[in-house]
Amino acid sequence: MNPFEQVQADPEVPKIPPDTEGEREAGLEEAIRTQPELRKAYEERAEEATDAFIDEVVVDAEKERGPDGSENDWPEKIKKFLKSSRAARMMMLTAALSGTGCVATYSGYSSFSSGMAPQESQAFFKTQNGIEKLNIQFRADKAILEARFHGELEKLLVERRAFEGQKNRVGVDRINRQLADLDVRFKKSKIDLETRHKTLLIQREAATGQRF
Amino acid sequence: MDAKPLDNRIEETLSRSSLNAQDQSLWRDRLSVASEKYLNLFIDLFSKAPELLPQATQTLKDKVAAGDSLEKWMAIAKREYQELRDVLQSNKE
Repeated sequence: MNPFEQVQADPEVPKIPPDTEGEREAGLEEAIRTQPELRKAYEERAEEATDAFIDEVVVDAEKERGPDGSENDWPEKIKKFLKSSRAARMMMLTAALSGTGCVATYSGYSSFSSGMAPQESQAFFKTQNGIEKLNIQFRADKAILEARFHGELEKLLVERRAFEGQKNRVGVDRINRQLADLDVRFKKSKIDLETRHKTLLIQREAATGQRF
Repeated sequence: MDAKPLDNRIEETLSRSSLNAQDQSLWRDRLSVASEKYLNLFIDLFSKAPELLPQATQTLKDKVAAGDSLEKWMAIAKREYQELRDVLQSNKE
């Protein structure tokens, strides 16, 4: 039994359908384009990946230049200059508005360009890309869950303040019970979400034979 | 779908550019679901220089079309890597 099957055999773990690669890819692309929270999470990842890619250009340029004691701040200065360049900003914009492929490519550029065998590169890219997408989805789901929790919490706290102002002990007690219930529900939802995410990662690990 | 009306400055920029209707639609479609930051970046980059839009449009199309193809993405990344190196080079000169 592989790790994924072990987790899926646990009756407490939500069942995940098999990873139908094509459908998942298309579905996630569409979801990223149309769901604001997911879109935002994706844009952030695209931005981080583009930044990392630009850093790499600077590091490479610095290596070629060689150590120069008199200009130790050169990389920082040049990084700032490069990131504000029109080329870099255009790159960032088009990456953020495009599909999901850029995240893995920009993040893993040095691995791909350092002479990995084509088959290894392809496997690495597919795995990385899948992980990136799962992580983006997870972050977006978590952000949505937390936003809902804070919304409900704020509403209950306002109600409780009103009851307190009225010296309504019964009302305050009722809200306190609702707050406790909300806390339990939030923690459970968070655990469910994390479990689902871990399960999906294990599923991908089992499918690709790579650990991450 | 949570599409929002685009800023007038984006519409003006697109209408002043030499892009055909299909390419303008591509930007509208993508920008209509993008966050504020990227709308501002678009305006900042192109409102005073709409002549740069055709080049950026080609890059955007290439990235959208690349999907999950490592080969296509590597070609894009290599080209952009060189562009950034050129920027550094021109700064040194």
